[in-house]
Amino acid sequence: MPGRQSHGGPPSKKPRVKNNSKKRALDAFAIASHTNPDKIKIRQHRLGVQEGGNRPGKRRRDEDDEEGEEEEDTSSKKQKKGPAKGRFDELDIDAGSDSEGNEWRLGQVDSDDDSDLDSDEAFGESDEERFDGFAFSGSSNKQGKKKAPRTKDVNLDEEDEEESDSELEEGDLGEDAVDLATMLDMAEEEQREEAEAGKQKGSEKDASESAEEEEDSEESDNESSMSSADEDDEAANPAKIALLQDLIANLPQVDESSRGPAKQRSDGACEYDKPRDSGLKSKTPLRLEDFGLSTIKDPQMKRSLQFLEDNPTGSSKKKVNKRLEVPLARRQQERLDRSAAYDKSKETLNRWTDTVAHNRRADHLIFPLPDNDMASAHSNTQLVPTNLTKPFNELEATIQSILEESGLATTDGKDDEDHIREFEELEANKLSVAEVKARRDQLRMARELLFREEAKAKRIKKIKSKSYRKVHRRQREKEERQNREALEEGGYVPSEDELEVQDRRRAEERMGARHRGSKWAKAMKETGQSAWNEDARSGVSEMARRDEELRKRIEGRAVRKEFENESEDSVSDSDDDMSEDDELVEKKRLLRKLEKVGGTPLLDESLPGAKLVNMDFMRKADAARRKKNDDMVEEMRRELAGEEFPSEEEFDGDVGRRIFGPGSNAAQEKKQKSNNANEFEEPAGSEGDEGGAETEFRGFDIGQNSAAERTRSKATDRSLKPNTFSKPNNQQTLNSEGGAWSKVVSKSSSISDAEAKRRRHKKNDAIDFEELDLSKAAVIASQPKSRKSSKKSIILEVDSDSEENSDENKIRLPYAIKDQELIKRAFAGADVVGEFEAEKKQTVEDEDEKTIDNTLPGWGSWVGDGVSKREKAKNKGRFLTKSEGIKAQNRKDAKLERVIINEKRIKKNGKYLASSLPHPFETKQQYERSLRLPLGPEWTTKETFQDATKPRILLKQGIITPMSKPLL
Amino acid sequence: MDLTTTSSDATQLRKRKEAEKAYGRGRKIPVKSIKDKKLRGNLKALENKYKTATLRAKDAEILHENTEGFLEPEDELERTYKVRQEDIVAEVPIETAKKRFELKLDALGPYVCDYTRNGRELLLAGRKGHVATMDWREGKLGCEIQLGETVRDARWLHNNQLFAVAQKKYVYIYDRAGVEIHCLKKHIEVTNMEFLPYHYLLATVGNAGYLKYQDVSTGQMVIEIPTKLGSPTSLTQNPQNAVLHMGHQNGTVTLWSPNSTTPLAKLLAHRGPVRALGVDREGRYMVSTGQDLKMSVWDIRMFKEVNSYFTRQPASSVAISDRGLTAVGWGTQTSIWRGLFSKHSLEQEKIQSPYMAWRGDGKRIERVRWCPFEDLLGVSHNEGFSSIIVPGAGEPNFDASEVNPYENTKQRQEAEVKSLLNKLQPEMISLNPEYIGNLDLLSAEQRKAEKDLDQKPVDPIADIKNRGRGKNSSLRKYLRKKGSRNIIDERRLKIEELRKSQGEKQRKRLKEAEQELGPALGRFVRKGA
Repeated sequence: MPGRQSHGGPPSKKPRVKNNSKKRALDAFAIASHTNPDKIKIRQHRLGVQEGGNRPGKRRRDEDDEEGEEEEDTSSKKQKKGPAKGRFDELDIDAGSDSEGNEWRLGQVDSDDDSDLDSDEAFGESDEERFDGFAFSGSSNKQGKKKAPRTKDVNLDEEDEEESDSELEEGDLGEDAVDLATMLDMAEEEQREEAEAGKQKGSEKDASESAEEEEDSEESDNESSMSSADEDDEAANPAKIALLQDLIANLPQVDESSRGPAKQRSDGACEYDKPRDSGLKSKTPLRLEDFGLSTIKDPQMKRSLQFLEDNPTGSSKKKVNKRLEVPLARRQQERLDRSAAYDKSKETLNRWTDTVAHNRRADHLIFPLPDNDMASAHSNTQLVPTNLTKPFNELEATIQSILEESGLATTDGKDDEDHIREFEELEANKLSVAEVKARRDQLRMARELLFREEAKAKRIKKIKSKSYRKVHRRQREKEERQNREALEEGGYVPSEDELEVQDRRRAEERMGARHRGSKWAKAMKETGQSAWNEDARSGVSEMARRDEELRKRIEGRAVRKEFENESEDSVSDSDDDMSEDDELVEKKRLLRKLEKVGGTPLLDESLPGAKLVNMDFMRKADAARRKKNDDMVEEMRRELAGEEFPSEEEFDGDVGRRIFGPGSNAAQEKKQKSNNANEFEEPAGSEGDEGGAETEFRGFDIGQNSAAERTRSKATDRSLKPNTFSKPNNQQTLNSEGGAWSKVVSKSSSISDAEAKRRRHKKNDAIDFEELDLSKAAVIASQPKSRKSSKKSIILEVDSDSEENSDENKIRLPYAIKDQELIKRAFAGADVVGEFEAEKKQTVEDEDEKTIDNTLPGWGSWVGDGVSKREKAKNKGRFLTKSEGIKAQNRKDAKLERVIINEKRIKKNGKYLASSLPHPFETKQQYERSLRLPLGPEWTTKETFQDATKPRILLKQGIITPMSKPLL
Repeated sequence: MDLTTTSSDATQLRKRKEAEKAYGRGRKIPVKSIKDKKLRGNLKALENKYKTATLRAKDAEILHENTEGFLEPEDELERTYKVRQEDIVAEVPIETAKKRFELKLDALGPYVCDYTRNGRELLLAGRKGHVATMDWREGKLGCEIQLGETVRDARWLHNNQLFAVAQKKYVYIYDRAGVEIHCLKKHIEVTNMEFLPYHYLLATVGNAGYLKYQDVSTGQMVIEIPTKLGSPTSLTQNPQNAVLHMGHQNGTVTLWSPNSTTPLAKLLAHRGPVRALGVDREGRYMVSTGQDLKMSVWDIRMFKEVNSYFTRQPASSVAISDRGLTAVGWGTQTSIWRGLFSKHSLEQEKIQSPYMAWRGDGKRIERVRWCPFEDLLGVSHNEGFSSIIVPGAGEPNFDASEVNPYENTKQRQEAEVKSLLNKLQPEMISLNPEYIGNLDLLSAEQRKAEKDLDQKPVDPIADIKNRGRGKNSSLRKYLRKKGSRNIIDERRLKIEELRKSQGEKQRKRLKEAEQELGPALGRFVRKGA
C-alpha cells in the first residue's frame, strides 16, 4: 500500500480529482435521474478503458484476503507505471474524442468502467454462490432492465460499472455506498477502505484492474451493450431495479456458463487476468513482475499477456469487443512460435551474410575491424580534436580556458550545436506532448524544406555548369574557326568533305562512348535501377531513343558501315554486361574505335567532293593524311593483335621505325591500289610511314603541316628513290655479279608480289636494306634465306671484313677464298658432319618406339633341323611387345639439322613436378599459370612482393570486439 | 577522327605492351571459360596481380638512374671500332680513366683471369704457377702465390673468400689469403672449371673428359659424368638455367646438367674444335668460336643457328657482357661486337663491323672477361693482364640485394648466409628452369613402370613399435602428441591396435601378479612396472 501511494501520487492526481468531481456529478444527477445527455457520451467511452481498480480488489479481498492484498499491490504497481504512459495514451485518445466532448470525462469514465468491470469479474469468479442473493443497489435496476432484452451479463456488467463508479464515490460519501455497505459484509467494508485509499491515488489506479472484465466484454457485443447501457442510463428508473435484481439473481449462473471455460483456463493463475486488462488500458509496458505474476509458467498465457500489452489503447474498444480465440494446442502453438522465431532470427542473421561473405573473400583482414575502431575509445595513434579530451595538466587547462574565452573552443567539448540541442531537450521536457509533437512537426517541415532547397540549388548549379560548358564550347569553336581562317589564309579551304567529317565525328562521339559511357549510364547499368525506377527507366529509353536517332542520321549516308559498327557495339555491350575482363573490353573498344577511324576516310571517298578537293595538291595532302591515319590505325591494330598473340610480337618490335625498301614499298603500293587511290605518288606511302608516329600525336594541325610535309616528303623521296631501287634482294644476291650496286638490276626486275608481301612483314629486312644503302656494306644473312641459297656461289664484296653467307662451306670472303678452301681441306679429314648425322640417326632409332619379339624358339613350336622355313616364319612374331618411344617426326629436333635433343625423361627433375593437378584447377595451364610469378623480392618490385606476402589476417593493437553492425 | 584520344590510347597501349614485353610472364589464360566461380574469381585476381606486377616493374624502371652509353658515330663514315683506348682515356673522367690499366707479368704467362661476382676482385693465374688476387680498383694485392706447377684454370667461388685453381693434377681451393684449404683429389687434370653460384656447384672437366660436379657447400661430389667426347676444348655456363655448355674437338657443343648422364642437347656448331663459348645473361643466345675460323651465334632456346661470322684467326676466348656486348679474343686482338643478337627482333641482323677493337700489341690473348657492373673488359694474355674501357658494356644498375659491388664485410657475410639458405638443389637444373612445380605429364603406365617394385614396404609404425615401454614410450608419446587428432589412417589404426594389445598384455600381467600374491597382497601389485 505505501508503495502505491508514493508512486501513484503526483501523476494520478489530476485525473482523480476530475474523476471525483465527475462522479459526484453523476451521483447527484445520474442516480436520481439518468436523463442527462452528457452521460450518454460518457457511457460510450466508459466501456472501453481503464476501470475498476478498486472493485476487484475489494471483491477479492472478500474472498481471499491475502491474495487480494497481493493483487492490490500488483495493481498499485501497475498504476504506478500506468500514469506515466497512460497519460500520453489518453491524450492520444483524447485527440480522437475531442470532437465528442470532454477529454477528461473520458478518462474518468474509463476508470469507472474499470472498477465496474472488476466488480463483475469478482462476481463471476466464484463469488456467485456467496453473492447469490445480492444485487447492487443502484446498478441492479439497470441490470435488470438491461438483462431483459439481452440476457447477457455484459450488459449487466456495464450497468454495474456505472453503478460501481458511483458506488466508489459513494463508498466515501454517497447513498450508494451505504447500499453497498449494507449489502456487503465486513470484508467488503475493509475493501472499501482500501478502495478509498485507491481512490486517493486516482482513478488511474483503477485502470489497471482485472481481465475478467475484459473477458466479459469479449463475450458480449460491446457496442450494443454500450448503447443499451446508455439508453439505460437515460431511462434509469428505480422501477426497474426489481427486474434487475432478479437478473442478478440469475447472473451468477449465466456468468458461470459464459465464463466457464475461460475461468478454467485462468484458474491456474487467476491473477493473470488482471494484468491483461490493465495492460490494455493503461498502455504501460507492464511486466509480469508488476503483477506479481512472475510465477506464471504457461507460455500461452505469457503470450496472450504480451499480446494484450501490445495493443494500443486507441483500439481498446475493438479489443474489448474482440474475444480471444481458443488458443491452439500447445504443440501447434510452439511450432508456429518456432517458425516465427526462426524467420525472425533468419532475417537478423541474413543481414550479416553480405558482410561475412565480403570478409571471407577479402584478401586481407585487419583486426580490430574498422567499425569497432570507431566505436572504441580513441587510441593514441589517432589525432583527436583537443576539445574532446579533458585537459590533463595545468597548461592544457589554461590553454583550454583561453580558447574558450576567445570562442575558439567550447566548454565541455560541446559546440553551439550541442548547446542548442540540449536546450531544446530541456524545453521539450517542460512542454506538453502536443506541443512537443507540434514542434517536431514544425522541425520536420523545416528540414523537408531545407532538403528541397538543397536539391533545387544542386539543380541550379548544374544548369549553371551547363552554361559554363557552353561558354567553353563556344570558345573552342572560336579557336577552331580562327584556325580554319588561318588555314584559309594559307590557301587551304576546308572542303565539304571535311565539314562532313567533323559533323560525323561529333555525331559519332555523341552516339558512341561519350553518351553511352557517361557516368549516369554506367550507374544505371551497374545498379540496375532501370528495372524498378520509373525515372531511370524513362531516362534509359530516352537515351536509347536519342541514340537511335543519331544512328539513323548517320545511316542516311553510310548504312553499311554503321551496321557493322552497331553489331559490334551490341556485341561489346553484351560483353560489358557479362564480362569482367575489362582489359578485353577495353581492347575491343579500341579496336572498334580504330575501325571507325579507319573506316571514315573510306566513306568519305565515296562522297562527292568540292572542286577544291579535286585540286591536285589538296588531293595529295588529303591522301597523305589518310595514309598516315591508315598506317596509324594499322599499327595500333597490330599492337592490339600483338598483345593477343605474343608470337607475333616481335614483328612489330620497332614501332614507328622508318621503313624503306622495295618490299614495303611494293606492298604499300599494292594496298593503295586496292584503295582506289592510285593517283598517289609513290613518295606518299613512304612519307606516311615516316610521319605516322608523329601525326598521331599532332592533333588538329595536320592540315597546317601537311603542305610543308608534302614538300619535305618530296625532297626526301627524291633522295631516297635511288636507294630504294638500288636495294639488293637477298634472293638474288647469289648471282655471280658482285658488289652491292650490281644487285640492283636483278632485284628490281624480279620481285614477285608474294615475296614482297612476305617481306613486308619482315621489317628487319627493310631496315637492313637501308643500312646497306648507307654503309654499302651489309647483306642480310638471316637463316631461312641462307638456307635457300644452297647453290654454291661466291660473291666478291666491295668492302668490309666480315661478309659471308653462313651456310656450310660457303664463306664469302673477298680476300680469304683461298683460306676458306684451305680450311675446308684442313678439316676434310674428320667428317664431323657425317659423324654427327650418323649419331643423330642412331639416337633417333634408339629412342623411337620399338616392337620386341619375345618369342622363345622352341616354346610351343619345333626348332632345329628339319623345320621348314614357313614354319619358322610362322613362329617368329608370336609374342610381340611394343615399347613406347618417340617417333622420328615427333622429335623436337626433327627439323633441326645440326641438333640432337635428348628426349629422355630426366627422372631427377621429376622430384619437383606436381604429380597430379591440384584441386581447384581445371587445366594444366591454369595451374601452371598460377605459379608463374615468383613471390620473392628479387623478381618483383617491393610493392608487389609485399602485396603478395601480406598475411591474410593482420592483428593490430586494440580490442577485438564483435562487429556491432553489418558493414555492408 | 579523334586524334587526341587515339594518341592517348596508343601511348597507353604502348606502355602496357612494353611492360609486357620486358617483364611479362607469358600468355594469359582464358579466364572467362572457367566454370567454377571461385576459381574464376581467383584466377582473374591472379591475372590482375600479374598485370599490375608487370606495370609496377615497368614503373620501377624509374629507379634505374644510370643508363648505359655507347660510343656513337657522328656520321656514317665514322667507325666506332677505330676509336683507340688512348682516345677514350683522354676523354673520360679521371676516375674512369684509372680503370684502364695494364699488368705486365711476362714471365709466367699466359694468364687466365676471373672477376668475382660483384666485380670487386680479380683473380689472375699464370700458366706457370703464378696465382694472384687483387682488388683492382685500389690496386691492392690480396694474395700472391707461386704454386710451382702448371695452372690450367682458376675461378672464384661464390665470393671473394675462396677460389679454386686447376693445377697439374688436382683442383685446389685456396682462401683469400692464399692458404690451401682443400685439395679435390677426385678432379684430375682439370682443364676447365665453372662455378654455379646459386647451386654452389663447382663443375670441372679434365683431359679424360669426365664432367664432375662438386657441391662446395657440403663438399659432396654430386655426379661424375663421362662425356665420352675426349678432352674438352671449352666450357661455359648458361647463367639463366645453370646448364653447362661444353665445346669438343669434333665441333659439337654439348649441354649438360648434373641430372642426366647424357647431354641434354648436342649441337654441331663448328667443323673444327670449339675454341670458346659464351652465353648471354638471359640464356637466349650462345656465341661459339671454332678452329674453323667461324663465330656462330645460336638461339639456344630454339637450337637454331642465328648467324655466323668469320674470324681471321681462331678465337681463343668469348665473353658476353650484361648488356649484350660480345668480346672475342682472337690472336693478338680483341674485337667487341654489339648487337650480335637482340631478343626483340625476330630475325637477327648480321653485323658488318665490330663495335670496338683492341689491338693487343703482339700479346696473345688467352682469355677475355667482362667486369660486372663496369664498362671494363679484362683481357689476360701471355704478357699479363689488360683492363680496357668499353663504353656501354656493364649493367649500370645493380641490385644490391642480389650482388652488391660495394658490400662491406658484414654485408658479404650476410649475403653468404642468405645465399646458402637459398641454395638451389642440383636436381633443379634443367633446360627450362621454370619447370619446377609444373604438372608431371607422365602417363600412368609409365609411372607404374618407373616404380621400384623391389622396394620394401614402409612400416608406418616401425619407429613406434619397439621403443620403450615406460611412461614415456614412443607409443605413449605419439598418442599424447598426435593421438587426439581426428585423422584416421593406416598408421593410426595400427597404433590403436598396438595400444590395445599392449594394454591387454599389461592387464594380463597384473592379473597374474595378483594371483601370485594372493588376495591379501594382490592390491599392492604395481601397475606401471
